[in-house]
Amino acid sequence: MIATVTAQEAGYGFAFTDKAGNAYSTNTITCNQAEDDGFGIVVPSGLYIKNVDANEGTTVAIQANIIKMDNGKVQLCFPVNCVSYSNTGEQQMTEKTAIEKGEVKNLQTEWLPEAEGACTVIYTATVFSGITKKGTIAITVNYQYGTTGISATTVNHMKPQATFDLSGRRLTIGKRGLSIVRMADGTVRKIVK
Amino acid sequence: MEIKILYKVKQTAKRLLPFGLLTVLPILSACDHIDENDRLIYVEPVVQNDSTLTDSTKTITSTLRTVLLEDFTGQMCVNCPKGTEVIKQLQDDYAERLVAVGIHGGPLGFKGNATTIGLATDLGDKYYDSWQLEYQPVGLIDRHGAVNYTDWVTEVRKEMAKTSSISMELEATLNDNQITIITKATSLEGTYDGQLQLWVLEDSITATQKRHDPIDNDNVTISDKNYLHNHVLRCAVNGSWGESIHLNTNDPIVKTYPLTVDAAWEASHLSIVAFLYNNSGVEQAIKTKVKE
Repeated sequence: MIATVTAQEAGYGFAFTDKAGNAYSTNTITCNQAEDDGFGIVVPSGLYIKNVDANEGTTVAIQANIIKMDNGKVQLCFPVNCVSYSNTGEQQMTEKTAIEKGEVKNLQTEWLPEAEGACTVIYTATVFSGITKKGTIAITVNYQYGTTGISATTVNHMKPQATFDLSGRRLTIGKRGLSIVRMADGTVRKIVK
Repeated sequence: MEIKILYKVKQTAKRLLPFGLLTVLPILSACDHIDENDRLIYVEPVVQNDSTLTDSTKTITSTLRTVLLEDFTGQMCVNCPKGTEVIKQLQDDYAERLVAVGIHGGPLGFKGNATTIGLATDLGDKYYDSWQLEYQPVGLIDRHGAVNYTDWVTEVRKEMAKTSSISMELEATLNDNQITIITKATSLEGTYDGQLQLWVLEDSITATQKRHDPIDNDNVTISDKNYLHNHVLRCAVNGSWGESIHLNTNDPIVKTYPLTVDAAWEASHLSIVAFLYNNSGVEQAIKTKVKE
């Protein structure tokens, strides 16, 4: 029988944390800071796993269980490969990896929505000692984008919002030559392409 | 004088050995002026793309194998540049013995939008789906099944240790936006039934790629707009799965293909890849730059 503990407990020597290595105080977190990474809208989880005090020879693998996904897909890049999930349900466990004591490793998992909505994923970390399962820890991530309205999309302030020629006529963004570009943060720049 | 005699003896032996006149050997070995290190040892001839294939004095039955590594990659795949790093390492070690192809497609491939150039193609998706791949980066090494990039070095070395019974030659010339591709395949021993596949690759494409910064730091992810993509699969010249080919021993088949350069490609960065494969995997591969 494998016991499951909440994320805030450093179960079996591992804990889900933020980038700084601080363990989450609850076993459910909400992620609603969407951003445009050039490929489209992304809602990052900011989810990391830390080896708090697991012994040498201990490894960990991650499994995503997608409870709800209004649209889009969930991506997970841990530990060496990237997988993309477009259906709900329990997904295949990743490969096992060793993490040094004190080290924090990014799960690189995010929701890529195609429209406004929500997505809920339970991430389970299974801890192994050799080939023996020691136990699991789990955390639930509630991704939200748009209508749930918790937070507006984070605007990339360096992204051009509008482009004008020297006479003030609006141009297509990216047009070659000397142009005046208004950035998302309201600043204006002269750009020569 | 002794050098001349030694040279003549060696030349004579080379001519005679393939014809089975091994009875001469005892006579030769009796020449006590041949140094121990210079004595003839029969080594199976191994040549690659040898222009002397028509030399009737040689019986060549195998050649070095050029390994094909199909890298299933994607611009949205943050770990994929790690696979590219492995390819760079392999190319440094093996140069033309390795033909690497970046196949953009699958769920982490990107086909482009108003602001970002996409390198994924329907062809890439088709290959990803047909091989039933489940993650990226992942490679096929001579089409012997999916291999994680962390194992590419080992698997490529294993494959390179094998010889091939097929010799290939390839030439691609650009003239007025039209590439003329000529490929020649020869079976050095036995018959071969398989598919001949030709692809167009492009190097030095600047396009956004998700990656770690630096690449070995998993905790920092960026969208790198200045990422340089190499050996990107652009299209198949002769259909997604190539065309059937039957080779008889020492009976070369030469095929010529015309190809129009797509407006989105930079002609000076193009290469052509040709390879032969069947259910046993890829038997031989070759790559050449398009000459202007």
